[in-house]
Amino acid sequence: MTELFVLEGKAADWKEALALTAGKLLEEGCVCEDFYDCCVKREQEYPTGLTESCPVAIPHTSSDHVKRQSICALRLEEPVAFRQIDDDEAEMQARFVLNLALLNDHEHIDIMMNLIHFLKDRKTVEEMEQADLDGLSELLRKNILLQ
Amino acid sequence: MKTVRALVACGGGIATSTFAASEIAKIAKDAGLPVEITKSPLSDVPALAKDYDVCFTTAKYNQDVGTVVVPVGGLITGIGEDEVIEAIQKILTELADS
Repeated sequence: MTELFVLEGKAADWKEALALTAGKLLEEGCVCEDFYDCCVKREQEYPTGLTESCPVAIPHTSSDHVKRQSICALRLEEPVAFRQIDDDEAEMQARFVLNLALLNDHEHIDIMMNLIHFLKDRKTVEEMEQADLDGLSELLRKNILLQ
Repeated sequence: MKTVRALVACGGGIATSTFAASEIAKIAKDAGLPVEITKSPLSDVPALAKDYDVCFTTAKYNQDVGTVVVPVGGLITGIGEDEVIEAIQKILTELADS
């Protein structure tokens, strides 16, 4: 079963945002000590910012830095710039960081399918912006984890 | 009609390539095209590409690997998605018929 953590916070840049989500996952015992460093390295090489119309970044790293499958979602007070997943020379402003701690199992396939379909729905971002923290958690749990 | 061997690559070979591989399998199935899909990290593409008929990448990829490379980031972002689906169908049809 995949665990979900939802935070709200402030970050000056994408690394600070990632430190919040990866820090939470480490504190909860879901990931290894080097998870943050590996996510940063991977983000520099292969960025994960989606688009201007879907202001979400989905930083992650390989499964060998993950202990339990989990996602930490962060809603930022002010957006931070991430480079784009499909064009690493372009930047987008992310209001949400969904830090994915994925294992290479069957469940991660369902999570990715649900996650991308959910984020491509035009109503999603509006709902994620407007919900309170519990509502945001509920929204992600229902749509991505189907729990 | 021959089975097309397709490589689907993203940064780490686990997250977005998982999604893209499922979508490409669905596109092929809907079009009645036989496709065999393998996922990989982008870093493995230069070594693996020669064993495949086509390589789909979720990130921009400019390296010449001797195999046709089709960018499919639109499947993830939804931007230009219809064009991307059309391009996937076209290349798979061409390769299956070749």
